[in-house]
Amino acid sequence: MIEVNNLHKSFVSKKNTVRALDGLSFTAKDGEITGILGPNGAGKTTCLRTLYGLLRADQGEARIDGIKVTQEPIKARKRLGIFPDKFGLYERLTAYEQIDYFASIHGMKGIEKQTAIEQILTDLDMHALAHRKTVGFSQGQRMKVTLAQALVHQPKNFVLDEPTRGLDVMSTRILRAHLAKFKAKGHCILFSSHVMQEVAALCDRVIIVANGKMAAQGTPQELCELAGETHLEEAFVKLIGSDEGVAA
Amino acid sequence: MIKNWHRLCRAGRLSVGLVIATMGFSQACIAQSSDSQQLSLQSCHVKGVRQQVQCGTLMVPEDYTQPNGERISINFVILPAIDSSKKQLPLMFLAGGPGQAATELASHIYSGFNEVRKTRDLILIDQRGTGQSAPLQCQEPLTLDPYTSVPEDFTLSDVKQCLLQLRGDLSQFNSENAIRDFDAVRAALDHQQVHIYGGSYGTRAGLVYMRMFPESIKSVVLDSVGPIEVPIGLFGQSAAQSFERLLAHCQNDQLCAKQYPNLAQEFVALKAKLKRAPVTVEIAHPRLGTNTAFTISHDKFLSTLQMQLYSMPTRSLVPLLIHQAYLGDYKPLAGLIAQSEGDMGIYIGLHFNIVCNEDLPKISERMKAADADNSFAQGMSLAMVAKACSVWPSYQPSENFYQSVNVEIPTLILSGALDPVTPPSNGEQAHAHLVNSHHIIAKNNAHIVASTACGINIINEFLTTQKPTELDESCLDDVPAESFMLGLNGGVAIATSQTKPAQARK
Amino acid sequence: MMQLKALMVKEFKEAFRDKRALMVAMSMALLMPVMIMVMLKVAIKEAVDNPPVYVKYSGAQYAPKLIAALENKNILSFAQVPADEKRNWNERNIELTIPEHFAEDMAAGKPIELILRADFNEKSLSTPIRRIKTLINEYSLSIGYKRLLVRGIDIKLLQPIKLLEQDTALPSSNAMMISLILGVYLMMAAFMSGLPVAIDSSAGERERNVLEMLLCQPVSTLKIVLAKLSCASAIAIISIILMLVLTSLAMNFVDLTKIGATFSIDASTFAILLLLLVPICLLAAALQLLFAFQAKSFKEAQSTVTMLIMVPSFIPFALMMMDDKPAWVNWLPISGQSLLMEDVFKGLAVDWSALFFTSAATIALTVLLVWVLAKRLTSEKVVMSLS
Repeated sequence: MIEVNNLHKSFVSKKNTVRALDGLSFTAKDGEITGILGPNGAGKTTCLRTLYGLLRADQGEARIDGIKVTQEPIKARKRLGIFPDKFGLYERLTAYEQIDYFASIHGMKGIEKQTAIEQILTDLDMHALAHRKTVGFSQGQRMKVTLAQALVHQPKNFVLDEPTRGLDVMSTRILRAHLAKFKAKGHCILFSSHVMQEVAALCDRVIIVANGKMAAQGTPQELCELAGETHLEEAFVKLIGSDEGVAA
Repeated sequence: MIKNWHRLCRAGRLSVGLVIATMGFSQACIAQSSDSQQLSLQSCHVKGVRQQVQCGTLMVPEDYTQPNGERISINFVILPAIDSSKKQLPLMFLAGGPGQAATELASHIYSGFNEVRKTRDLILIDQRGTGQSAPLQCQEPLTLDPYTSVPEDFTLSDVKQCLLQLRGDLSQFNSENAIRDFDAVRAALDHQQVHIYGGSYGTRAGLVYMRMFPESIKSVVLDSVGPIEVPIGLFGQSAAQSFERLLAHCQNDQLCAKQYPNLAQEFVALKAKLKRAPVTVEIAHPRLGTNTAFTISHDKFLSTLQMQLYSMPTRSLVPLLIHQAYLGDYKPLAGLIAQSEGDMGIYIGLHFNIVCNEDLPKISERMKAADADNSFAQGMSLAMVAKACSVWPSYQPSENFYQSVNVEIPTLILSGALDPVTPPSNGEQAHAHLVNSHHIIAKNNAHIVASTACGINIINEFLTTQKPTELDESCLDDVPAESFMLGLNGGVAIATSQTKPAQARK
Repeated sequence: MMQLKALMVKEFKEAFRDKRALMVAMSMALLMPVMIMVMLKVAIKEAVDNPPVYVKYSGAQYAPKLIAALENKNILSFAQVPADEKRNWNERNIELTIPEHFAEDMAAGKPIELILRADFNEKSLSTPIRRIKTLINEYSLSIGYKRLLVRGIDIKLLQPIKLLEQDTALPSSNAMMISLILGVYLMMAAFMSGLPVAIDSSAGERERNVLEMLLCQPVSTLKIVLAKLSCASAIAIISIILMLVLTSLAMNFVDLTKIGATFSIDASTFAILLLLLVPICLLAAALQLLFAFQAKSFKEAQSTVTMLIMVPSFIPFALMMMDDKPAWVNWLPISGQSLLMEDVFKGLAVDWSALFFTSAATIALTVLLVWVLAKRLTSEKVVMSLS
């Protein structure tokens, strides 16, 4: 379970002060896929980075399974699987080595680690890729590697930052299928996106963020009802109060 | 070139008469070692060598049959190899004389043996009785003026005076004990084996070493050999032969022959004149510039002349020297005497001690007569030695001493064809007994073949390959004959030169 | 511990698979022995070898003995020049003019004027000209000495004062030039060899978007820094070892004894040099990582970190300039090691206390840098520059 409570975060530079988060609160429950929907610059990435413990909130707190990220970042991160927005790969390592590396960082070893890696390779159908160096991988292949390394330690909570960006249809389908499987196993999945269809298709709950605040939350259905619109996209525009920065 | 005169050509001199004629004794400090320690070794500087070297002393019994008796300190110097990483065996240098102190030759050896020193330590040991190893040196009561005094004035009382100053049991200062010292130093320095180089009397020492401690020696270079079969002192024939060759070279040299057409006759006439009575002339003192009397006797003239026969650069002055003297100009002679003043470094006490006991008794009257039957200095040098030896305390060399040495140690024998004291026939004698030896005769070389770069290269090659018969001797052909000085201002040469042009080296 | 191991294994795998960076890292180690060898060969040739020099004589027939003396030192007549070198020597055009009345003037004791004509500014001619001048001076002097000698003058009068030099340096310091070069190069190798790896694993990883992922993992930044540090410094250490070994090998092809020098690295020297340089490698890697993480891009990292090279090359030279060295230079990082290395090459006994202090100081500084870097990686500034 991921809880975010009244996060405030400002970035101060010489010229101006940007208020990235302004009292954002939400909860992503286990066994659900929670989507964070917001226009560019709404504070999605800042929120997630605070969740990873990379940024410190000026006010408020984030908890992962009840562990305060600010106090015990390492313990909190152990319960996280992260799929970052810009997934880079170690291009001189093979896919297998890369997954192995992250598994080791999470403290796995020996047979346990091997089985976990085999499992994730099977799950993502990437045995053919496993022993190739990742340089020159297609976007879909890269996504699979990133997914595998994020999930190899079977994290209770799984955070994805704009995961489908740049993915073709097939890759997106694989990702979705996998997320659904994870959900079924009772994991907590937090999913940030600015793509409507995706959120609508996948998420159990949607949190709409605008200007560092939660603009609305609920199931896609609820949100449509709330805005009095039949399409989520229309609801979204209405809820954030502008159509600026919305991607179709 | 003048500076070369000081070089190795002086490394080992066997001549005795010459030593007396220019007796300029240097201060010799007696090593005083209260140290009970056997071996001491430390970094030091020796004269003429800029680099730090190693100096050491080793306490040895004066009498090896009395190990607990009187002890003397043996002084030695190690000139370290430039590159010691190759772990080559060192070369032990045995000096001439007898009576030269090896460590006093350090600067000559340092530069002269540079090629060898690149990879090998050079060990210079002061033979007992020389240098700082219990030196047997006579301090003259008055500094002998080399211009006014003549060797003929040398008297027995001088010898007796000298004997009074010597300390130690003279009978222990013999060649065999010297070798025991050398080998003790070798062992103390922890060398299983060494190479040895002996020059002049050093070859005699080397031969004794080979007989006494063959297992200590890896290989031997004998340069200008004084074999045990040939007693030291019989220089009449060899000096005459060397001189005659010089005269012949001058006659073969178109320019020299033209300049000095009657050199041989002039020499005979001059000798006869001096034999009748010494000549005294007034000259400016070569060093002080003040007027001084300069007395030239027969023996003084001949011994100075003989001295010039040892090396190629000095030989080139001989025709001029004779011709000028014949004309009544003795200044070149004075200049040469000035050159060698205070430069001999022969420890005369040790010299006589060895020659009088180990060599002179072996010279029969018949040998003496045969040796004196020559056209140069007749029996001059031997007569002077005999005089000193008549009062010198005697000892009996060991029974083995006169045995010919025949061992299988690889040995390189070098002789200079123009040598006035150790002619190639000596080298032949040694060669005949040594199974694994090779005798090289350098055509345009007088005493000590190692005095040329070519000689050193051959020695170095031998030390490296250990194959005396397979050495590249070709450079000897490039060594030029004497380039005679033909006038008081130097060359008057116009036509072609005698010197063979060196081949272009890449 | 296991995490650290995994981190290190990954860093090493990446470093060793990056052939280009590895090449750059090892290039110094490979090039420098060759450079030293070539430099020495040239130096030895200049100093000792006497390659033939061809001179255009005019009036050679008037002074055959002088010509013979020149020939003896391999200074030959232009007439003897081999065909393939003819053009060269014709261009160099060294002319020596001997006057017609050489012999008469010599006999008369009059001064003789020889003319040596050449382009004295031409670098390739400096050694030949020096050799010709030296020989003619020596030849002239030797005749002068003989003239005085045969006039009954003690020629020692010409040298009233003789200076006997006693050099207190140890024999092996003859090879100072090489040691000095090698010392500077070793220092530079320690500093530079890890550089490509350090930049790649910091600024490079950031640019490839893998750093953020790593920072989000449950691992302390200290471990991350240590892993990167050990990798970069290991490369530097390997490079140094390679350099020492190759230099030792290369020296076998140069006959240093010709210039009275020797050079060999024995086991103990080797060990001491490593002992001195390993802390430097660590310090260098820490500095490189610090600067590279600071930089905004890979390019910027390259340029700022490259400036670090100034440090190791500047300090030894600054030390050379300093005549009175205060004691603390012995203990400072880099300067301490430079001085100790100089001692090692001179063959002096190692000052163990200085070695201890300078190593301790270097390691302390490294630890401080690592700590600072670990702290920095948790800072928002670094995170913000991630994207």
